[in-house]
Amino acid sequence: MQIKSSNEQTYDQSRSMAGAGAGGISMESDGADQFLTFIIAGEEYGVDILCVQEIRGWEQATPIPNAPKHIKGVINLRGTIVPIIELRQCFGMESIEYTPITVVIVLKVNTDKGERIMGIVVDAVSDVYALAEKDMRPAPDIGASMNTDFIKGLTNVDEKMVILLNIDKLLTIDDMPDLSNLSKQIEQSEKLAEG
Amino acid sequence: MAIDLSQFHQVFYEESFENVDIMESSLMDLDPEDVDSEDINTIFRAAHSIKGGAATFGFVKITEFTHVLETLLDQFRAGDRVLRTSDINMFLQSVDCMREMLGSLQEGNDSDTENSQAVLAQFNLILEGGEATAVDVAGAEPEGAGTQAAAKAEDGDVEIRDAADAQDKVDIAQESETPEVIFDPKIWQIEFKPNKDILASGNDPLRIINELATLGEMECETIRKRFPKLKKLNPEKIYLSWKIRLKSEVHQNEIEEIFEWVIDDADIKISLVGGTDIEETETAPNLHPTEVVVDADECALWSIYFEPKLEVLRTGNDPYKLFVALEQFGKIHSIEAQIDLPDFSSMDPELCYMSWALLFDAKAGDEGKINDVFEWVIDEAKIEIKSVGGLFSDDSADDQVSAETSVDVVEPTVTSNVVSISGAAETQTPPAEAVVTASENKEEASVDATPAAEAEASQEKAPEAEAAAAAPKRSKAPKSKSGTAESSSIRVGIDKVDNLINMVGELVITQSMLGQLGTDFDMDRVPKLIEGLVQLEQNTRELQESVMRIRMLPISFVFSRFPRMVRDLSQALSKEIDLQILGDQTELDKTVLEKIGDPLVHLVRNAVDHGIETIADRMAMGKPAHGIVRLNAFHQGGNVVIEVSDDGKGLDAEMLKQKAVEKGVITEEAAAMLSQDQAYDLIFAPGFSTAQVVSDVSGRGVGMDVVKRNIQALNGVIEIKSEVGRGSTITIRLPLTLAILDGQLVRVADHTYIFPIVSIVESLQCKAELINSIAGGCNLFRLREEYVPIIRLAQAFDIPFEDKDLDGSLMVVVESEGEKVGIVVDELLAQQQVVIKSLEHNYRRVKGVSGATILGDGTVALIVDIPGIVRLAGDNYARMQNAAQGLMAQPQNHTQH
Repeated sequence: MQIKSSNEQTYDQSRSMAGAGAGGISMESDGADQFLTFIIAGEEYGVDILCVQEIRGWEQATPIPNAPKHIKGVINLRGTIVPIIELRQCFGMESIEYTPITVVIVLKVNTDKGERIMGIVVDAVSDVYALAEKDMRPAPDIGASMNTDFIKGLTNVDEKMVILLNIDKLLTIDDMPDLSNLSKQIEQSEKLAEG
Repeated sequence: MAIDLSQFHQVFYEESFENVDIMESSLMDLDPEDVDSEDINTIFRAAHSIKGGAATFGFVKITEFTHVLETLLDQFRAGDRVLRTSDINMFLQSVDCMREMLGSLQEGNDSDTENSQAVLAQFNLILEGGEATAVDVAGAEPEGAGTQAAAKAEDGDVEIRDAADAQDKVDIAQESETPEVIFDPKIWQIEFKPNKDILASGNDPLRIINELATLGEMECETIRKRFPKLKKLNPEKIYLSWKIRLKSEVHQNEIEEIFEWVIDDADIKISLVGGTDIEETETAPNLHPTEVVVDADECALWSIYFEPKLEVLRTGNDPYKLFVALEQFGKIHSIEAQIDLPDFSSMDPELCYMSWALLFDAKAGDEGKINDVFEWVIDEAKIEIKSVGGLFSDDSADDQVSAETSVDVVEPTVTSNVVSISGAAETQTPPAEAVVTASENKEEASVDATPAAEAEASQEKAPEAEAAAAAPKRSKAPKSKSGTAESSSIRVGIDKVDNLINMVGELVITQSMLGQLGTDFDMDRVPKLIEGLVQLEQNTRELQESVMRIRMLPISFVFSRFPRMVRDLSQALSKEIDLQILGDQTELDKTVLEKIGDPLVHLVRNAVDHGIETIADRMAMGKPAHGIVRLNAFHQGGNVVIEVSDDGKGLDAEMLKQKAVEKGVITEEAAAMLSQDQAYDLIFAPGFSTAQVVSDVSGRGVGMDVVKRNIQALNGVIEIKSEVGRGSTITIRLPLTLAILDGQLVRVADHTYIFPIVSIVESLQCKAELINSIAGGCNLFRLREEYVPIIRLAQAFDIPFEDKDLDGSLMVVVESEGEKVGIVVDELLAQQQVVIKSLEHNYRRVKGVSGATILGDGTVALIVDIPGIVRLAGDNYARMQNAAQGLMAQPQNHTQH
C-alpha cells in the first residue's frame, strides 16, 4: 500500500517533537528526563525520548510467517530490516484499521544481544513531557498474574494518568502479557492501596 | 624522526605467518633421499624474512630463534650436514614453535615460550654437537611425544625444569665453544669499523670485543685515523676502529653472530688469514669501503659533474629528479648548466642537451649516497664525483694538535681491553655424566671429547624435556589462538584489483552516458535509454562479481595444513597414508574459508584415525598397505563442494544404530525405522559422540555434531556416503559467498518469497494422477522414479490460502540435505540476485526463513530456508519419507490413487 506523501513526514528525532509539544508541563530539563507520549485506545503512554530514533507514517510491512500476532512484519528502513510491533495487540486490544495517520515510532531497544531497532505502531503521537524522578510514582502491584517490570512508572498530567513504559523490557519479553484494561487495573489497584 | 613501528606489526605478523606456512610446506616437500636444494633455499629465505622482520621490530626472541634455525639450515644448504627425516621433523617442530611464538607476540605476550627455549636448546646442541647420530634421538623422540602428550602432561612441570637445565647447559656450552686444544689454529682477521653513532643505538663495541675474546686468543689493534679535530669531537660518537686478529677454531658464523647486532651500523670484514683455505667475506654491504679516511659526518664539498647522454630522458630518468634527490641529504650550492643546443631545425624535444656541474654540500661520508642517486643513470651519463674538501679544511694547526691529545684521553678505555684472552672454557667443569657418555662416544674421534659429550648428554635430555614442555602447551594452543586473529586483512592479486578498476571505469562511462541522456531527453531517445540501462545492469553485475572475487581465496589456504597433519598423525599411529589433494585452487569466500578449516581438520583426522585401518588389518583385507585419504574441492553450480574420502573400513549402519540405541540417542523402534543414510546421520547427533563409546564401533563421530553445526552455520550441507570395508566419503556443500544469493522470486497469496536458486531442482505443474495421498494428510508426488513429499508454502507459513486442488498448481522441486521436496507456490516471478539482510539482527531467527532482502520497489521479501521449511512442514516428514521409501521398495503397489 502506498501512503500519501503528506503523511509520510518523518520527524527527525525528538527535537521537532519537542517543539511541537510546547504545551507540555515544562520544557526545562533540570535533571528531568523527557518522555514522548502516544495514544493507544484513548490511553496515554510514554517512552524515554532518547530511545526514539524517528517517527514515521505507517507503511505496509512484510509479514513474518508464524510470528506472534502482535508482530506486524518487517519493513525496510533505509536498508535495515526493522520489525514492526503493534502495541494494541500487545496490550490485548482490538486491532483497528490502519489509516494514513497511523504512526510508527522507531525505537532503539537495548537487549542483551546489543541494540536493536524496532518500530511500534500506535494510534497517534501525543506530546513530550519533561519529568523528574519525583514526578513519577512506581507501578502498583496488580497481582501476581502480571509482571509489571515493563512499567517504568506512572505520572499524572492534567489529571490524566500516563503510563511510562520501559521499552527495553517491554519489547524483549517473550510472551506478551494481556494488558487489556491495563489502566483500569492500575487505577483499581491504586484505589485499593489507598483505601 | 621516530616512526611508530607498531602500526606495521600486523603486517609483520601476517607476513611471518605466511612465511611460516611456506617453510612448513617446503619442509613437507623435502625428501631426505633426494634433497632439492631449491626447497632448502625456500625454507631459508622464509626464515630469513622472518628474522629480518623480527629484528626490525625488535622481537629479539624471534630473531634469535630464526637465526639459529638459519644457521642450521645454512649447513644443510652448504652440504655440511646430511638431511635426515629426523631433521625434518625437528624443523617442523621449530615451525610450530615459531608459529606459537608469533601468536603469543600478537596477543601481546612474551614470545619466549618454554617450547621455543627447548627447541632452541636442541638446535644449539645440534649445531655444536655436530653429529647427526645425536640428532636421531632428538628427532625420533618428539614423534612419540605427540601422542603421549596427555600422559606426559602431568610430569610437565618436572621436565620443563629439565628443559631449563638443558638450556643452561647449552649456554655454558656455547661459551666454551673453543676447544682448549687447537690443532691447526685458524687465524681470523676482523676489521671492525663501527659507524660513528653506533653508541646511540645502544651497542657497545667494548662488549663485542670482549665477547670475541672469549672465542680464543685475540690481538687487537686500535685504529685512530678517523679522529676529528678537537672542536668537532663529539664525545657521544666513536671515532675508533679496530683490527682484530683472533686465533680460534671457531666457524665464521660464530664470529658473525657476535657482530649480528651491529651489522648494519658498522663496516665489518672477516677474513681467514691462518689455516689452509682462505675465505673472505664482507658482511656490511651498505657502506662501500672508501679510500677517503675522513670524518663521515664532517661537512664536505662535492663537485659533481653530470653529463647525461642525449637519450637520457627516454630511459625514464629525469635529471631534475636526481637533483631533488640530492637535496634530500645535502645542499646544492650552485648548478652550472651547460647547454649544448643543436640547430633549431634538428632539435628533438625529447633529447637532453644539457650538462651540469654542481657544487654539493653534504657530509664527507655521503659518497655512497651520491652514488646511489646517480645509480640509475650511470650508464646513460658521464658522471664525475669528486670531494673538494670540507668547508673547514683550512682549520688551523693547533686544532690538529689538540685532536691528537684528545686521542690519548680516549684511547685507554679501549686499549685496556686489548688483552690476549684465551677461551673461557676453563671456567667450566664438565659434569660427571658427561664423562660417562664420552666413553661411548669414542668413534667421534673428537680431540676434546668434553664439549661434545656434554652436548650429547644434554641432548638426550633436551628432546624429552622439549616434548614435555610442548605437551601442556599444545593443549593450550587452540584456546589462545582465538581472539584477535579473526579480524584481519586480505591479500588480493593485482589482476583482480585491475579488473575492478576497469569495471569502475566502464561504470563511470555508462553513468555519464545516462547523465547526458537525462539532461535533454525526449521520447525518441527511449531506445538509447534502454540500451544504457542494460549496459548499467551489466556493469553492475560485473562489478559485483569482481568485488566478490576479491574476497575469494583458493582453498589451498586450508588444505595446505593437511599434509603436515596427516604425516604427523600417520607416524603417530604407524599407518601408511597417502594424502591426495585435488582442486586446491578452488576459490571460496574468505569468511567461509576461515570457518571451514576446523571442521575439515576434524574430518581428516577422523579419516586418518578411524577410517584407515592399521597396516596389518589392511593387508588382511587384501588392501594395499598404503591407505588413501583424498581431499577434493570443486565448484558445482553455485556451490563449492569439498569431499573428504578415505578407503578405510567404512561405516557400519547396523552398528551405528545399535550404539545409538545404547547411548539413548534414539529408541530401538526408531532405530529399526532408519534407512542406511539416516543411520549414517546418527554420527552427527549430539550426544552420540563421546570418544570411548564410539571408538569400538568405528570411532567416527567425535564432535561430528559440532562439525555439522559449523557447516550449517555457513549455509552448507554435509552428507556421508559409506560402504563397509571400502571407505567413506563425506561431502560438504557450501555456498560461494554469504552475502549475495541467486534467488527465484515466487508469489504465495499476496506475498513474495525468495528461493535460493541453488537448491531448486526443477519447477513443474502438478498432475493429479501423479499425486499420492498418504494417511495423515501428506501428499507425495511421483517425480519420475522418485516420490517427493509435497509442502504447501502457504500452509507452512500459515498464510490464509484457498484450499484448492493441487492439480495444476505450480510446484518447485527443491533439494534439501540430499532429499527432494516439492513446494507448492502460486506463481513464479523473476530470478534475480538478492543481497541477504539479516532478520536476526533486529528481530530473531525465524523458522523456515534464512534472511530477508529488499526488492527493487523497496519492499522487504523473505528468503526461504529450504531445510528449515522442510522441518517446519511437519514432524511427520520422516514418516512421509519412510512411506515414500516403502512405495519405492514395492513398485507393484504403485497403482495410482
